[in-house]
Amino acid sequence: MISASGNSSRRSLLNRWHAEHGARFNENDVRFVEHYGDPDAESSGSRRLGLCDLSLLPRAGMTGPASREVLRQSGVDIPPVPNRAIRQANGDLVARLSAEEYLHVSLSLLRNANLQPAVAGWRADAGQRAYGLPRSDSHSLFSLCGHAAAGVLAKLCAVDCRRGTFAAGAVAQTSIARQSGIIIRHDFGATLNFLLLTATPATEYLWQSLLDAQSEYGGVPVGIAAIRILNNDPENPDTDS
Amino acid sequence: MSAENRLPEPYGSLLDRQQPLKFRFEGREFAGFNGDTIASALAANGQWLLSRSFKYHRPRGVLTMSGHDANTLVQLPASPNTLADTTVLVDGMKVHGQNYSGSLAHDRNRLLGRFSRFMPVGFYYHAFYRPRGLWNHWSRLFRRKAGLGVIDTSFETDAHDKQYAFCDVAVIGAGRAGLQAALDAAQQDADVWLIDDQAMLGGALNYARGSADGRSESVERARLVAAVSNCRQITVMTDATANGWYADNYLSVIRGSRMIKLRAGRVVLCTGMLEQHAVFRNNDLPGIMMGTAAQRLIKLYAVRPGRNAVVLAGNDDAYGVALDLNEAGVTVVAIVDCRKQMSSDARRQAAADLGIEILQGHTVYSAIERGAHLSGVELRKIVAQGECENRGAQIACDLLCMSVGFMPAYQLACQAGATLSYDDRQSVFDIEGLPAGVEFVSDRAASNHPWPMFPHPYGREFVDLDEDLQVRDIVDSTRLGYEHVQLVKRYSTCGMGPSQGRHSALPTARLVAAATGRTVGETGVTTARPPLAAETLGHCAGRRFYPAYRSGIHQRHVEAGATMLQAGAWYRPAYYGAVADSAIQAEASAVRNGVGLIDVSTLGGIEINGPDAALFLNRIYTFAYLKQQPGTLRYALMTNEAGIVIDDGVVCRLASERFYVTATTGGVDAVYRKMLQWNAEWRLRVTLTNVTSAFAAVNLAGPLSRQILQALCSDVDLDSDAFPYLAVREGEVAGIPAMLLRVGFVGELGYEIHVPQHSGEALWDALVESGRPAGIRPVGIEAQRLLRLEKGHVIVGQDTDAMSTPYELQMGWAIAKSKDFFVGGRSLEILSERPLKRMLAGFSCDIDGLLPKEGHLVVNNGIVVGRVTSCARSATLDRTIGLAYVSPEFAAPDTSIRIGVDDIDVEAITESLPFYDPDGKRQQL
Repeated sequence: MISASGNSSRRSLLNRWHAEHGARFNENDVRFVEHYGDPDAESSGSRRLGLCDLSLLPRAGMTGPASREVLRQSGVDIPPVPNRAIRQANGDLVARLSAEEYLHVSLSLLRNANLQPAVAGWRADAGQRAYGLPRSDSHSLFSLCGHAAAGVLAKLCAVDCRRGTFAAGAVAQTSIARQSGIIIRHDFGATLNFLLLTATPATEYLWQSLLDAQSEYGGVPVGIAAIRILNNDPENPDTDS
Repeated sequence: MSAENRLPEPYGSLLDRQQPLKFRFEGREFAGFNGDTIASALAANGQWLLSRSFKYHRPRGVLTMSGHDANTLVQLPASPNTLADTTVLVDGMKVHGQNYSGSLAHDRNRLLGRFSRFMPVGFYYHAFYRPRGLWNHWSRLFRRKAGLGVIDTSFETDAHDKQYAFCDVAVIGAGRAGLQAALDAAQQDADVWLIDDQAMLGGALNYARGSADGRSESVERARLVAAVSNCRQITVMTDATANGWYADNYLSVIRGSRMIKLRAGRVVLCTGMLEQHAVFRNNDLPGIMMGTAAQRLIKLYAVRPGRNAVVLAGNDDAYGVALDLNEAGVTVVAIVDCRKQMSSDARRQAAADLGIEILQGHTVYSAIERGAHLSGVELRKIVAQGECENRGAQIACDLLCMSVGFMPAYQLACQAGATLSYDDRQSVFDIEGLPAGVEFVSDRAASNHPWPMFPHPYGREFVDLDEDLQVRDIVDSTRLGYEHVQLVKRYSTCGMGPSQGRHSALPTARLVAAATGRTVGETGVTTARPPLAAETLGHCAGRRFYPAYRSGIHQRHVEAGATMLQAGAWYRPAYYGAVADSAIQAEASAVRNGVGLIDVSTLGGIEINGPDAALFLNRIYTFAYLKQQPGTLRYALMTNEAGIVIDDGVVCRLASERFYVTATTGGVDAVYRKMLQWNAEWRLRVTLTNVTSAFAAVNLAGPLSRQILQALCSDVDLDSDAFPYLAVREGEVAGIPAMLLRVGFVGELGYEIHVPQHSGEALWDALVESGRPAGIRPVGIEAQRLLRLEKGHVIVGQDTDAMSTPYELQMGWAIAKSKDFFVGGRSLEILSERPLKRMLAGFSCDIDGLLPKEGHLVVNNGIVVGRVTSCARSATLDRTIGLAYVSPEFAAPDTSIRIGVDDIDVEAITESLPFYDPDGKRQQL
């Protein structure tokens, strides 16, 4: 199956929104929003509440009865049960979405100032019943971070995402603003953070829904510069992923 | 108007006197303070008349000051039926009374009260319905006379939303019991929500007087509130109404314009007591209110509720009311205690020490009206239950406070499944039968007079103020046979008004009990259901979430001037340009004569992998796939168990155990569910994945499409021999990984190019750039529909319905006869042996004539013989063409049919399909 390319052809479905809101894109092939004009304000704002479009961050998926074994042999640290995510040694994230389905998010790339995503992909040998999934393109990826993030989700989603109940590494496959989506608790340093994935064609819809919901809490859209700073913070003691 | 009744500080704990406000009521300007309610600000200015009653248009004013009655319903510009006693005043507010003719002060409809004997309870059930149809006339009159507010349908609604919330313990009510319950739960490390509908914590501690000196409440309140405020585990929600209890402690909480859906591990109901009114003649006049209402006015809003007061006592709290009135400068003319026995409560002694006259064993027998307000009361000695001496004395007063009893605020408890029991000997209520996880806690026992009801020969002793129901209305209901309290409610409408029986339930139960020879306990009260308080449609609707899907190419369509239309959740370009007809024909012409580019990203896509993938597809679709070669694609028709067509697409075999299947835009989710469902039964070795959202796709179609693509694609041999019709290849287009399908949906040489969703726009740009010299045009779905119609291809959902079989669609060719099994196969086998009742036929008519549309009927001698499913003008074919279901005898080519279009019959003739390129040579170029 065709999979994501790492070249400049890839554009977030929010590219125009970002540009219209003063986004400064990075200089790499894949154009992430570095910031919207005031990186310091975004950095501090993101600790309260920030929303970042990470849709171009490489992701991979694998499904099939042999997927667990294939990944284990590849050195992937596999969550023991479905709906759990585990931080990998290199900082990437692997979430187990069902007994036979896995999602890989190349979060480690966020630590790199010269973000140059490579083609993401898990591959199995022919004959193995493990099949790659086009997760870089099937879903958009947002980061909703800051201490008010759970309050925003409470307006859009029926899952209890409070810090004390939705633990680090928890995964919920649920409805967000009446749109199917995946919520993964993955804190950036000490800052509460949720990774939100939804069908790519619904990218703009969910983005606007989140902006609307977070306006009550003074949330701001942020670029990856703010996320990078959060990521370099010391971690919370309760962060177990 | 001056604030003649405004008391000095420290009265008015809810007021911010530094923020004066102005507002208008009935066109007159009034002043208030921030923190006032509409009613308290009006009362401070001496405006006690707030509304007119529902049926008899009697004057009404403050009764409870807690939003528990309909007396204070007023009209705001955007919102009728607003409770003036709980709605916080806003600067510049414009408030009107409602349900009156003339003016609020001089309502002409007040005359209706004089004819009340002709309008007994349920009178409209017995009259006005004969002769047949007359009710329609009368109902309009009744609705004019007995209405409430007016809805401004042009008003722009405020934003409303909903929020989910969770806690270990939800404590409803923040009075003494609630504050303590919250602290107790927090001590056990619980996450607690403390919910109260008032603006300030403390409940009755904020206004009630439980002791002679009146200090203990404020001391205790300060202690409890400080403790709660300092407790991190308690989330305080004031101005929030817990409006409904649902299974598993799911609570709807209304706060401002938000509905909070709160899931609590445990619910502690500390909802307190509802003070009850006494029933006597004219007990509804402005100036007559609950004792607690007077206390709220004084302490919360710094309003003196009157100048000369009488207090009607049925319990010792009445003496606390009298002491509060006295301290606020109100002359307490008398305390009329219905009880024979003198109370030993210290508050009584304190009142007596002040020299207030106390009459034991007496009651207010009737109230006297002057100028739509209370001007005095007639007192009589009680001789038996509900009976008084024949003579009494009159006392002048402008305020009557009733403190005769309480009943628990039982509604939420009963919603949770509890029952309200009544001890007739002690005249007290109890809550029984609560489910596990729900508690009802009260810090005081209700102290009730057993029978504070005194029927009057001339009536007007109101049991239910909402509905203007008098004693005789309830008693008459029982005499007509409606003896059960639930039937009394339905017949008389008692308890069906805005206050939902908060004050009518108990006196009704007492009257029904007496009339039917039962006890009050045996009689019971009517069922309490959610919502507790009025809930607006805005609260129920919340924020509107309408998921919208946009392909990765969406913005290019917008920039190209496309008119977008929504198909399900998807936005799709209908056509490009200002004028639909010419744009559609030009786009179609581009495909037929040059090259066009169609965004088909909305097509569904499902991956099927595994050793049994081919077998699985063989069972799911009607065609055969076991021998399909890798690198080829085949048409796929899906039927349900009844043999009805439910979807179609193509099956691409990418490798021996690897397939990619397309499905219709609207059908892919259902198709995927069906596949999962069937394989849960079959347990074949396949893995299914819905990858619809992962790919953007375009259809590059037209005789020039190969040359356009050739310039961008170096690793796929596009020659017709190497890449023939119905083949599939993987490669790169403009450097983007792509899957290329040679399909013929529009009947021309064409390539469906599927690429990663985030590369969709780049692909579109590359193709547009490459095709510019050849005059490439973006093509919308309207032109695509025309093109496929010219080819006679059906669209599932448009040309099919819930009864369409492949045979009716003339698609028997898509059924593999040699297969042992496929879903719907057995049904189709049976159907194949039966004569068809209808067939989908092509037809054509004059291109310049009327255009038949979908749904227009095919008629023959006035009898319907079919209906049109698709129709369009085809410039290419120079005629209007369409598809229609017709009876088989009309389906043969060259049969003349008539189509009814706007009362005119359009002559048409059936044709064999396809209309265009019947040999299919153009798509196989």
